[in-house]
Amino acid sequence: MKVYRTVFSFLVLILFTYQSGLAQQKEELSLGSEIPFADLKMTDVSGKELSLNDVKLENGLLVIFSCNTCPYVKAWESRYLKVADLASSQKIGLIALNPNEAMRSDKESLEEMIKISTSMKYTFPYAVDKNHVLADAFGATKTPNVYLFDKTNKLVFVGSIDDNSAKEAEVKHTFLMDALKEVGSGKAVSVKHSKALGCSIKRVK
Amino acid sequence: MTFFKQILLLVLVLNVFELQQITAQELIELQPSEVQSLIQSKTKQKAVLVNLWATWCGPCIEEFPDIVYLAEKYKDQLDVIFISGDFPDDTLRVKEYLLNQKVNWSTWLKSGSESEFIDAVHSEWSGALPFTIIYKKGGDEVVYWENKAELSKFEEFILKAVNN
Repeated sequence: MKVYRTVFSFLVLILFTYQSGLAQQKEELSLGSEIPFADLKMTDVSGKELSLNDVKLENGLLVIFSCNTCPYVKAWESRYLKVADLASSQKIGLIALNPNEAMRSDKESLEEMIKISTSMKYTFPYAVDKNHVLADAFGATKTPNVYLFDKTNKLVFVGSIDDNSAKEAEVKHTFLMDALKEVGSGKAVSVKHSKALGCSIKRVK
Repeated sequence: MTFFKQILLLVLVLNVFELQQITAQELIELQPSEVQSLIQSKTKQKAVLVNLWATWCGPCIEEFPDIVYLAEKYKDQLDVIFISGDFPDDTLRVKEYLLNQKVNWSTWLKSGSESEFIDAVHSEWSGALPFTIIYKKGGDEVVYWENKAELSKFEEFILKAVNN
């Protein structure tokens, strides 16, 4: 009986640890944090292997967790190009990352990413976040999810592009555009967080 | 009956049928400022489960039938507030889905500013779908979670909510 109890307790312990590990999501990266995994190379739609440090420019770095399928990404996608133009003019590097590893052999494959990048005329890299390593390190929960780092590599803005994915004409707060201008001119970001609806990241279990 | 009268009768019957369907599963726009008053009005009567979902959200659709099943099972003690994050242009698709799932009570469609809406629903919600909150009758929060859940998890917390 004692043996069975020990074995059972051991199994419960393993199960609890395993479940805790799974549940360990990934707290969101806090403001002031440094860029995680800055040198990790990722496969871009251009065929190049790029890291966040490769993409970063003198005034900062903008990372957008994105994907091929989420309707919220689709709603904002036309605004990605305006974001890209502004980021470029502010000397802030931009990269979109696809963390949806659970659908990598299907709709979130590199081939599909290449199609999206081409059809939507992306002017920025779009890379595979293999096994959602970066998404986990950032604590990203959904796509799209935006992270902006300043020239000192510190996180200064987390959130969304603006406050209305459905209707661009009714946008009241252009959170990201404002933050890009502030970071570009070396000012503190006034609105550091914004929230938006998005599709949960399709992580592998 | 003349042919014309037959057609008129058919049109009338079809309209009544359609009207019943729309009434049975009314989809109401919900502004950020209305979210809490909706929840509070429902928790006066029963325990409440709030579920944020969308027709294009795979995990939402996977758990949706379980929630409908539990809504029926605990209907005397629990109200389910479904709030769709679908876009306004997709209202018809939402209604069709609700009809297929035999949701014969009113549900809601997010409207207005997104960031205000998310904050109005729950301060800890990141905006990722699906999202679930369960309240006891009277309004005390029992639990909330992001991501899909199994039927057993929903039922466990519904029972906690209804068994004061």
